[in-house]
Amino acid sequence: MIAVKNLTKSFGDNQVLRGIDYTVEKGEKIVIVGPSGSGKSTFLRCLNLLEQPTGGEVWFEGTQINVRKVDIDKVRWKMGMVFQHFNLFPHLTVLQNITIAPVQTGKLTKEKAKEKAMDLLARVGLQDRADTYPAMLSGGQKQRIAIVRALAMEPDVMLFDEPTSALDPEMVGEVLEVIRELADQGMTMVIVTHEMGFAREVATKVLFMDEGKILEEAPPAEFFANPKNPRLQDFLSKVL
Amino acid sequence: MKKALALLLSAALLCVLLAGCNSNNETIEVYLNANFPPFEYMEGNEIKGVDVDIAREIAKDLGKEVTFKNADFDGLCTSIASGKGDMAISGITITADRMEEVDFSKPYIKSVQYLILPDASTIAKMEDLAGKRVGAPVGYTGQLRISDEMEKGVLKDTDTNLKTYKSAIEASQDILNGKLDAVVMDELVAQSIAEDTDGLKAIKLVYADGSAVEEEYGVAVKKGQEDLLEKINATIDRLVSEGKIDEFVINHSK
Amino acid sequence: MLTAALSFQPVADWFAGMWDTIADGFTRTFIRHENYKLFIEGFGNTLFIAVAACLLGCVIGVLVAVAKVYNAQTGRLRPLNALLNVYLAVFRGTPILVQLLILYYIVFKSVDNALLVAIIGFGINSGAYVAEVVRAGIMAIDPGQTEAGRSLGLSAGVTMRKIILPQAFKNILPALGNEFIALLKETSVAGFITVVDLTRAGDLIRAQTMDPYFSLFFVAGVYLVLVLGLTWILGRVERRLRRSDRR
Repeated sequence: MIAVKNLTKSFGDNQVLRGIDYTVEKGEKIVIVGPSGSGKSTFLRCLNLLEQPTGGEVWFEGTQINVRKVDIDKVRWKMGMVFQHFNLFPHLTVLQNITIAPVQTGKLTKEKAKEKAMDLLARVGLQDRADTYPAMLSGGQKQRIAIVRALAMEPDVMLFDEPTSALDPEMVGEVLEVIRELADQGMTMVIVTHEMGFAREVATKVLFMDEGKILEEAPPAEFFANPKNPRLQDFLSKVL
Repeated sequence: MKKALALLLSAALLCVLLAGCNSNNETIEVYLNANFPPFEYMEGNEIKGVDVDIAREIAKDLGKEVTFKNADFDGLCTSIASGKGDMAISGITITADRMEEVDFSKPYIKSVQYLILPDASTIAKMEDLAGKRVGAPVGYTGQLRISDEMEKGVLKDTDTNLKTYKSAIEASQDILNGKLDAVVMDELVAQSIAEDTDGLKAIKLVYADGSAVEEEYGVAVKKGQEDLLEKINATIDRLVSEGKIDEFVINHSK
Repeated sequence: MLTAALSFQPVADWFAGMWDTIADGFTRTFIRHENYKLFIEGFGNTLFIAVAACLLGCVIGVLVAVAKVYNAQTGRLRPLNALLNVYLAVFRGTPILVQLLILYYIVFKSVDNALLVAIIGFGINSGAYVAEVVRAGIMAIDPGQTEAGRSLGLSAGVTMRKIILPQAFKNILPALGNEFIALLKETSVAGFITVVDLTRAGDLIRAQTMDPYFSLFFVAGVYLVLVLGLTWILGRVERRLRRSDRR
């Protein structure tokens, strides 16, 4: 579904990604872990071209997307993204946050978008917040809305960039619960996170990244029980 | 420290204010608007013109130095009336309205209103200005007269468009740019502009009955200064009898 | 009793004389020659120039700001960006009066509509200031907002119009309001290119009445009322826009 070939990314002299090859299959839930500065967020942001790769290829559903002639907006309709800091639109109500993309892209009429938004809000238990502004919500509520906002475009894959890192501890659970349900429904997902327990539980595969490379990939049971790379062993000894 | 600074600043400010108010007994300050050749105009940094020469003669007879202050024409009489400067000599026409504000010397020259026109213009008299675009500087006789005629005279209800400018030179520029049909201006100024500018001519402004718009220039001083006025009149008498004023006009008309 | 009343006589006379002076000045300034019509014309022109130039300035300012931000983010509009920098430098670096005179006497020398030239002149000038205000407003918005918009598949244009500009506008409204107030007052030099604005109407009346007090204070008062009214309106709009910030 998503494939990257020899992906590199530099910011000035600083090379953040040093040649990554990886393929995400439909239905997989890939969790990426690694120390900060390892390039895992940059890797994720290269998948929907929020960061333009310096070199290499990014493929999505059979087409290379990091070339000029591809309409990246249309590609992004199919790739939802959730950010660490939610990035809800503060000047719009919760409902408008969710409907703006389907309506503006012409995917749904205003009425249909609203209907769909209310359905989705009900699924995360926030239908009574439709008309409030983001400033009045808790962090956990904001992130659940952000997930719903991405889902409103009916994406084929969801990208999560440290979705719980900015949350107070007591709110982490409610957000992970929503992501877990989504996983159970068969959504393809790529998740960058520090929640090792969650990775173990949800992932079909866990990747360990450090210094711009994927150093190890394995199903979670093996990944956590039998780490081979010494740096992964070191990393796990610190976080577990 | 702050206090000392504030004190120093106020002291400095006070000095400036006092200096501004100080009416030095050794010099007279003359207000004019140096945009009215040949009566007053700038040559480089220097103000020159007929009125300037007259002011120097007045100062000489008073036994004083003279300094000039270049100001907007429409504020000249107001400045003098409020006690700024000692006199205004700037081709100021003696009118009843102005005499409510300031005192005038006896007239030192007679002037008549002229029209500045494009060479090909067929405008020949006041009545021809009906429906035309007419320009004049704010507060000049020409502007006031045309306003008057539009309100209740021969240009009443004629759709005449009066445009106002800072000076006759800018107004004349708009004739060349095709935005004006005529400029109303004092005789000597009109002639001087027409001579200096290709494509413009100057003709005497007359009514259909042949009468002209005549006026007299005077020196304006603050009300109630009989002594000063007497001395100014004496100088004017002397200059007129010596033929000096005509001489000044010729000198400054190139 | 009687002597006491008599001793007030000079004061009463003084007030009576004062009153006559004021009444006379008022009559000369407003009534004689139907001068109030001139004031109305001037007031209308001042307001018209200010509003039209403000709209023009906002359109120019937003376009310039968006082009500059787009260039800063992608580096794709370098020649245009250089041109816009020249525009900003020239129109913010020279006095509005000089710009106006150049426009009227040279650039639009054959355009016989001074009001139009004034609107264009003030609009272009104001656009340069608005552009910098808007640009700063856009830059102050969290880049995460753009990323969120783009990640949803919204185009750069829609993201700018629906997500960035509304938020930026709310933040810069006070600055924009000040710009408009400054513009309103700056229109007082329109008389230099023959427009009869409020200030020039005062000039014309003053030249005729020789009484500076009434026309000057009246003109100043009208500007003041306009500015205070505008400040009030802006305050209300701002409060309304702040609704989504409730916590």
